[in-house]
Amino acid sequence: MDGEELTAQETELYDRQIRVWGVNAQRRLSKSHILVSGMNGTVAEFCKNVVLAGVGSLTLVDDRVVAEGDVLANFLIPLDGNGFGGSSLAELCCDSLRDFNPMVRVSVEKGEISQFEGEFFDKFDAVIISRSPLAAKKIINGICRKRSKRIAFYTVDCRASVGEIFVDLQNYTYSQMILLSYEIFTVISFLQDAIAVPWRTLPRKTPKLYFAMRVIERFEMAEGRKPGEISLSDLPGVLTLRKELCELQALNESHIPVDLLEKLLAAGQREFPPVCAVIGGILGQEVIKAISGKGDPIKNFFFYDAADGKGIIEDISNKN
Amino acid sequence: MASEEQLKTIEGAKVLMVGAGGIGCELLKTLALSGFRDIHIIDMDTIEVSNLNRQFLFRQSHVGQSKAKVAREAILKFRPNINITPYHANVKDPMFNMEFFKEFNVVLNGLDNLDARRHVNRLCLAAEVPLVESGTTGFLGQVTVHVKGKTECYECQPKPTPKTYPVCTITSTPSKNQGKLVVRFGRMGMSTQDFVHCIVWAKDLLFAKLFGDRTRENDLYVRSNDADGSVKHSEDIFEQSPDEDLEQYGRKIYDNIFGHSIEATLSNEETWRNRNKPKPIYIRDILPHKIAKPNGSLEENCAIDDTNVSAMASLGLKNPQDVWSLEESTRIFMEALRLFTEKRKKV
Repeated sequence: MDGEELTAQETELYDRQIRVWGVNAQRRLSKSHILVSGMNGTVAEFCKNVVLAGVGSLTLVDDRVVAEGDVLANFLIPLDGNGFGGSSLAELCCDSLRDFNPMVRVSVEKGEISQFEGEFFDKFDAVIISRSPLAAKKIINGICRKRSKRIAFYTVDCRASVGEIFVDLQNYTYSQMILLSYEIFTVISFLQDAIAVPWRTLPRKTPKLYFAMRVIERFEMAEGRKPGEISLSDLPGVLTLRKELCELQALNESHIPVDLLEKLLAAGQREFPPVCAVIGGILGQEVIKAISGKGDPIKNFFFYDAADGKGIIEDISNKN
Repeated sequence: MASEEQLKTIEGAKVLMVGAGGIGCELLKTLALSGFRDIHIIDMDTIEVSNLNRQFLFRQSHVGQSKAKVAREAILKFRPNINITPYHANVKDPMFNMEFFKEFNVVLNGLDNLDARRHVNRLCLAAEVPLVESGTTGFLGQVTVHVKGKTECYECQPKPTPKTYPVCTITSTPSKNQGKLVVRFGRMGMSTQDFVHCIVWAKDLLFAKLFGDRTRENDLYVRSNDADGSVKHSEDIFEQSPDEDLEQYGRKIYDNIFGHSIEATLSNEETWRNRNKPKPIYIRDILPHKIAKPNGSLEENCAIDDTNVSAMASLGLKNPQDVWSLEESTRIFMEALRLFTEKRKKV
């Protein structure tokens, strides 16, 4: 047993989930601190899930002023006809989330997450990044790895009917019961290393979505665009990049179908609410697993496409 | 992603949701965000505190209110311009007839029982409306689609019926229940089956004997053995005799159930050859002294809060996750008996 007992109020509120994951997991959750950056529909779903589950605190980072497009898949932004009063996305979402569960401390941190000092991250057990350029994701993953305490790192993005989660739990060991005895497993992966794995060494079954997301990501980086700041008119440029990358990686271009790239370009920043719900649900469960130390975590990518309804876990890491 | 054409269909569709619980709240939110503009929702339930950890449209201040109505209000906060029609009613109400179901393009079930699911399935078949069926337990969940003439219906495959427990074996081999009921409830070494046995025994047998219709047949077999050695008829021990106060009555029942009748069962050596023997317990060894009244005398204790009668609360045991000692379990037994008997007197 670690830490204090749950209060009577907590026991009553969390009764149904304590029956699912046990009292110790609940206790660990209530002492955990989560940081999220990028308040889109997917992250809204994730935040709802961990606030209801009863984490200790949740800190939101997103200074952007709320615009029309932001409300499409985000149920945390109220529409009362009075406009948004110049509030930031993080501020509006914070107000709604506080209301969901008064026992969780929800707050806003202003600034750009990739500029935060390393010490700032020490307060957290898990960091979730969405809608950030690849370069920023790599920086934050690197910071999380350098801290003396273990900070679980996740990236999540939904575009059109698809979604992708990346997980880096660093030196994470967890126990799993196999045939009545516990065995210890370790999970290690680093975003930078994962996406550097030569494409031709990946198994044939690797989802096409993985390659397509890397092409779009590279395109945005090369063009200096913000994530999702793309449209169908970018198709020629994206196809050129696909050709270059495929030649470099000795991968047949047919592994990255044109119609998939078209779909991602056409969606731009728009998310599809059912996909947000699925991806936000899976991510919530992953973070709960990592905090409670219970259950097999995703190693290390998760892909979902509402078009075929399939969810796929793929291990894309340097095996040497 | 929905095409322009799909979006048009979605905006013109009329959808019926049955159930505004765990699945219902998520579903209603996703339907509203996805562009549905005419959603009807039926739920007979009111909101409880234990719903709030997953039914995210509800708050503490909504406890006691209609789920369907509160869910509507919560959705309108972020989608003010859509139509949500709530029904705080049972889906089996005759007002929800075939004509009513025919109005909808699709019916979405988020129910918690087999009976209502079957009912909706039949109405959908009759009205020829597609049904999407869903359910969850713990970490598992599933969704199935039922379209008349194209897929099988909800009742085409037999469903596993909830387990029943053979009460007769519970009474004859009490190692799984009364011996342990007070002693080791919640401790290691018990399987789920054992817990179920404990509860079935306590609820269907002991509770029925103590507070139910005593004339009804009941398999509870209690051998009484009084101090003077005379063997009484088993029926008698459940009666409070005029010369007994409530505490004496409780002690008598306790000794008979957990003491005398265990000894009697132990006398059948054959039964215990390959089983762990239960250990008889007598209350004098656990609570040797008369119980101090928590709030003055028994008679003065009419101030019990009628809405919240709990032996746990009145003994000051706060955490339901704690494992009770034998002494605490015994106190709970006596206190529960007292509260129940006194509360019933008032009614």
